[in-house]
Amino acid sequence: MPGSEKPDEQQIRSLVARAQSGDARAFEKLLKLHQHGLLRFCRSMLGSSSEAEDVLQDVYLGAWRQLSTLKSSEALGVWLYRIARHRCIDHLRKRTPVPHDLHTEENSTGSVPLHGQRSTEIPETYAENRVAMLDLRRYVGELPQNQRESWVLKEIHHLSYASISEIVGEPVATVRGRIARARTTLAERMQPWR
Amino acid sequence: MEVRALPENPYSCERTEDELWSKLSEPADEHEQGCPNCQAQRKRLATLSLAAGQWSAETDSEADEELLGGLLDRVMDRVRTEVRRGVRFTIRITPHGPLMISGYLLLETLRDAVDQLPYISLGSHKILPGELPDTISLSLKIAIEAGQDGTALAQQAREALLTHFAERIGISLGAIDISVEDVIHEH
Amino acid sequence: MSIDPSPIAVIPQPVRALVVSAARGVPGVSTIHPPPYSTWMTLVGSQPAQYEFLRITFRGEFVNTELDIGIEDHSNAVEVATAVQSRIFDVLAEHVPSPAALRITVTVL
Repeated sequence: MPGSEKPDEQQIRSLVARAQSGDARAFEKLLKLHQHGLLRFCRSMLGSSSEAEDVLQDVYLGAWRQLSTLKSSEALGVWLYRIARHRCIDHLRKRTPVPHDLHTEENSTGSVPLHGQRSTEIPETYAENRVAMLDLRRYVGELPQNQRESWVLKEIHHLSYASISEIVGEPVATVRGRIARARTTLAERMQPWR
Repeated sequence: MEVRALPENPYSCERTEDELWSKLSEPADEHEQGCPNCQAQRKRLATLSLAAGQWSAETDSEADEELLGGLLDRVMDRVRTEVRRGVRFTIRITPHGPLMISGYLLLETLRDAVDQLPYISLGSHKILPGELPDTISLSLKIAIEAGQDGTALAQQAREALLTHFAERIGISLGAIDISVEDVIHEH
Repeated sequence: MSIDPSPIAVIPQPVRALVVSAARGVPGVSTIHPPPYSTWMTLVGSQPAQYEFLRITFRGEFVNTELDIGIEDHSNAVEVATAVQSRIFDVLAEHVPSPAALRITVTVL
């Protein structure tokens, strides 16, 4: 299999079968396919880069130890996101509430204006778009966890309602409802940008 | 147009926010162009859509690449240590005591033998204690490229396994169970 | 070297270290793996002492010793393991009161 090319379905099936037979290299290749998405998802869930890294390490090890529970290679992404979600929720339950640090990190670079310094138009320039996006991240971080995870998986990771339903273990209708509620809240909160 | 309020729809026309959101990237259709509610809601959702789009399109920084590489390396070190320490097979008992080989090394040998062969892709595979003393048995599933002779390829795989295990490990193999489970079609 | 006949001290630490060093010198050996219980030590950038690589347990009159090795890419596992086992026996036989009680397990990881 060529190194940098994305494997096709048959190759993924083969990699999963090999990984389940104890092939660590095949497992590593599978993780590489999803590592960027998983890191972003953990960051969205936890609102903290450093905690996301710790949790992602647990996600990888958990995935290796639970590989036998993966029933079909097609579900690999969903299966990994499900493990990541469980680990993030466990982590959130254990930690003492702290403010989200995503904005703190961005602010430390000096690239983000103080809250309230906004254009009164729909953001048009790159800088304005970026500030709007950072505001959005903060608002997403303030959503209830069950709305946050579903909204992020739908709008940032572009997963289908059916996949999200499998990841969060709730019916599609529930997922749709959560995403709709999150969207309404977020649209309201983004209003000042208009 | 009949205007009615749905319980979950805060707007006075029948289009839900969900519908408007899913079509936001497209130009407004005839109804939306004439409906003040839809126009207002499209405008209201546009900012969110723009920001979400930017977030989604954001590429990982070099720092993230480095971070992910380091993280994966650390995890894979742990994984390999765990696997090496997993199942062990006693392959000989000398007057001084037993000689053992980790299942990890045996499986690596199996994979190396099959991976060097053309037209074959290895799927699931395992090692079992052989029926005779000092032997092990192998069981593997392979996929072969379309148009190739499965029996001949399985025979090649068998010979490669015998050679590799003799050279690399130094033991005789018991049963070698090879099944062709898939055909690979060129895309 | 004087040998304490009590089982717990039957193979003193310097002898264990000597065995590990001798095993390292066997052609085809790429590494001696640390004992499983020490895995956590590598996480804090530490290593067990040389003698700890050779694990020892006692069962009745038998002295069981265990060593985990890695081998070089083009060497033969059984040949290298056999050579390591012989080497360990040779070194220990010079230092223990009853070599016949030695049972040496070599594992290629």
